[in-house]
Amino acid sequence: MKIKTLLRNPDEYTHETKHDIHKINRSYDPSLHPFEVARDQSSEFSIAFTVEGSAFYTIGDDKTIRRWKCETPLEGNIEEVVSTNISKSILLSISHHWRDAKYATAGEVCQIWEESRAQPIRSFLWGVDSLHQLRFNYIETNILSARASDRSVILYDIREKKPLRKVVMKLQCNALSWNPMEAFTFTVANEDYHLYSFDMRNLNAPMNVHKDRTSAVIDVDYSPTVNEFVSGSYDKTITIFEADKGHSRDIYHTKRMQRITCVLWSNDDKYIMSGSDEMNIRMWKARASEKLGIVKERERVALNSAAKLKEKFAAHPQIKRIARHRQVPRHVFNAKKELKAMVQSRARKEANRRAHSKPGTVPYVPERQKHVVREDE
Amino acid sequence: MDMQTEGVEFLEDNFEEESENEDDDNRHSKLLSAIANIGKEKSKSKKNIIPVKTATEHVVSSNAKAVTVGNLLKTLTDKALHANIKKAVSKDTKHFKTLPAPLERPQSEKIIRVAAYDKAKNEVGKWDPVVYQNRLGTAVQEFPLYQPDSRLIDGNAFAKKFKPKTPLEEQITALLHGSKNVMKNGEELTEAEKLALSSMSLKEALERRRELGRIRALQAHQEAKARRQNKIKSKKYHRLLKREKLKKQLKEFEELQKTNPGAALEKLQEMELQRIEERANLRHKNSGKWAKTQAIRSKYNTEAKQALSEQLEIGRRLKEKVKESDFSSEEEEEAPILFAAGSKFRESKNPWLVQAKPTIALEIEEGEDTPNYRKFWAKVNAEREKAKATEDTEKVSLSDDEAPMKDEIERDESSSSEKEEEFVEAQAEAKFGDADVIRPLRGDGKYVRIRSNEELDEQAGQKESLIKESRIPKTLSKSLEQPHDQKTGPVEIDPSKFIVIESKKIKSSVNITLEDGEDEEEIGMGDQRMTIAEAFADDDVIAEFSEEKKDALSSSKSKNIDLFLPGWGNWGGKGIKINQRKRKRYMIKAPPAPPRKDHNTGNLIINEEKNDSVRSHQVNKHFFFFFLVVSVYVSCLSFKLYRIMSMSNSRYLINS
Repeated sequence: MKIKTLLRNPDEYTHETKHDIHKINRSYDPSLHPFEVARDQSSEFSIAFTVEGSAFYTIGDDKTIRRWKCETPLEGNIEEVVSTNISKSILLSISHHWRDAKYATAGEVCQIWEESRAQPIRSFLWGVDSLHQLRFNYIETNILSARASDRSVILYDIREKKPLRKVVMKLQCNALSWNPMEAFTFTVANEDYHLYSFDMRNLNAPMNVHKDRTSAVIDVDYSPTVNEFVSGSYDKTITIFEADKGHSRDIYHTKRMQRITCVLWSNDDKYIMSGSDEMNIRMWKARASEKLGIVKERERVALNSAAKLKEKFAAHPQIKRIARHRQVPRHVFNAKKELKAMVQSRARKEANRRAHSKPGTVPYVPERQKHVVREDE
Repeated sequence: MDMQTEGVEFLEDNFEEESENEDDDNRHSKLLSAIANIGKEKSKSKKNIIPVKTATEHVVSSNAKAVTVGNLLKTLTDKALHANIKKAVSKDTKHFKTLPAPLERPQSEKIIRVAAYDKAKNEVGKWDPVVYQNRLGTAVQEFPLYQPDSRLIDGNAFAKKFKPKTPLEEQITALLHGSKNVMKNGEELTEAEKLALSSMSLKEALERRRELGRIRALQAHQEAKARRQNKIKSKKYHRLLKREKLKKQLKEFEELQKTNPGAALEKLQEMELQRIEERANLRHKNSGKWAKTQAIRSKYNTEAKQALSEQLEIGRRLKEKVKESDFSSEEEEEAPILFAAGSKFRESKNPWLVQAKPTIALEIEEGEDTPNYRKFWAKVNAEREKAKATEDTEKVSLSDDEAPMKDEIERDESSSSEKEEEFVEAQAEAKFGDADVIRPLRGDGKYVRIRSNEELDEQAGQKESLIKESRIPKTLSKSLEQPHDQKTGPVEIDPSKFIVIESKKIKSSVNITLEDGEDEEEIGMGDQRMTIAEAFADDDVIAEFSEEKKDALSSSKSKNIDLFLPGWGNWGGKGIKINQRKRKRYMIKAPPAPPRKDHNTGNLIINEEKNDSVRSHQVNKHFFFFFLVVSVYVSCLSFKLYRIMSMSNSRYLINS
């Protein structure tokens, strides 16, 4: 009987000595590797959808702005770029106008582009090395803000020739988000574990300081309607704040979730998306105890009256305690304790200094005025 | 800038004045001061010397002297031509001013930025009212934006919306549309009625129509009434309703047994079924949760006590056997057992309930042909009739079909002493709650009660006392009103300690008892009263209260501190007498306690101490900051959360 065998030369797969480099036999026949298609290796940083949502723009580290179609390509075809614009300067962020066919890019300078043109229609420069992020205002759509590498946040109006104003913080801002319900409010996530809500008409001090984080805040995003925002932090947790409150409403965490890199509040106000260092995207409920799916009339009434009751008796200590209590990871718990000790010790030191010096020499500085270095006109 | 230029001019003036010699002293002092200021002026002038009007950003030399038009004109001679030029130039220089120099770039950019920022500020400021409304208002927009349709829909519109879906609904609609008896909207009569009317004479038709209208109005009225009554939620109302129904049922039964024995039997069976159900379930017993709590409360709350007793009464009434005996075995040879139910309950063991007990005497008689229930009720009715007869000496007329009843009455009227004795005996026995055993002994079928001699002896004394008042038909009405004082034996209850309870007469035709008859034992009256007294012996509420108050008063006082150490500075040990004076010296007297509010109110304790267990539930006072006044917050809390309120928007409310 004839038996078919693979015939291999032992010299090809055995070492003479243990130091020999092991040779791997490999066939480079392209028909055997259909997924290995030659691709553009440049990475894309930022993405912005057009107004009608049929296309989107990306920017890459090769100073190019590419326009893509949203439709999935036909089978066998590869997604192709619709058009490419080349910028003169490095690009780091892109944001599309909410109504017009315009978009803005940030990098070395802030540039305003029109979709139909290859050259920027305007560029703003205000003595900054680089601008990291751009965001158009949702309501006053011609206003946009950018956070810069010099710990500052800059406001622009695309109709003007010059930028509007700049506010310099003590530490770097990591993210910025406009409030979709209020034309003049935006929130920045800061490196100093806090978030700051600003009224753009009064930049010398934040309107509100949102505490409760135990590590640098990486990203922030507003809820489309409920006047809340979500923040992702380097302490591996996601925290939801009410925009007018200094402390968080809820904290989300799971065992396997690592450092948060980005958060997003879904446009139907039901979910929160988070991306983290371990390369997972997670979807959370925006309100943890909310029932998803169809709610019948009776149930709705019951839930609503329960919510109303909770609201009514919110001030009662036992109810407040239950509503406020959250189980947090050990490291967060410890970090909070540590931070509290630090804050207390600083306060004690200040009080001591005040007590032992001439009256008026150690002024009381409100918390809100501690974090802004200056407002540039 | 103007300041700088002025400064320059002033300096120039100074030097001009110096050259002219006028006032020596002044000039000398000025000169001195000028010399003294030379160094300073120089440094100042160095900065200021550049006439800024001419300065541009390209000016490099700071020492360059400004060239004015006047200086240039000086070079011109006094020729006529030159004079003209001079004139023209000097004329022009008067009218034209030099333009200010353009600002430096950073400054000019800053100005542009400030202006743009102000513009943007104003623009976004337009949203202020909206934003503040959103922030302050309770209504926060939800996604998707939901606007409830607040228009009122009237019945017709709603009915139009309805479309039959299920086969049943389809059938019904088909029937309704097909029928001629359905009234249509806006019409007074149905088709069938119209047809009927058309086939009548005018007078008849009018009458018929009126009749129909009346019936319809009556119907509508009844419907409205029923609807109204259905909506009543009061438990009391329903209780009364039920009681009424029960009474009505009994009455109906009474009626029926006179007129329609067959129906009465059915009714009786129905009632029997009800009784069985009541016995089977736990609805009106004292073992339920509600009853238990009421039992606990009844110690302090008379209302609860009453409610409980009412409930028990209902249960008892329902459990009562209406059908007194089963005479079906009459044909058989066995002696029938007459269970004089009710009669045994008539004499309750509770001495306090004695007065409220109606007693209905039953004469035991036979009726051979009549059905059992009729026999029973015939007896009851006969009793009543008799009572009437004796009082009013009125002749009772009875219908012919109730012959046995008539006979019975006649017999009663003859009232032989023997019969009366028997009756009384039976009555007395019934009062003591025995299941009376009655056998037909005589030929005429009269029942005679047989008892052992011992039993008779035991109860002889009590019977005698009862005989006096147990001519029941006569005393029926009296016994309902009069309290049986002579019956209550000596009870060990302190007469000074009592709580006044309003006695309530229970008006009921049905017998009332508080205990089940099944497990009854024969206990003497005196014994029972004793046991009740014993049962309540510990419940000295008033003494308990006074004790409690005493404790409260003493606890509010602060106590003296005794620092005396026996044996300190003295001989100590057993049998040594302690010097009281010395002891007193070491006693630190407590300050007198502040006066208590309840110190002279007899039956009241006012506790004014802080309660820590309550404290943890109290609202933090900082919270009132939002409400400004505590009372506002309290009134906010006191609002009830109605359904309509809960449907309004709140932060996390769900919209449909």
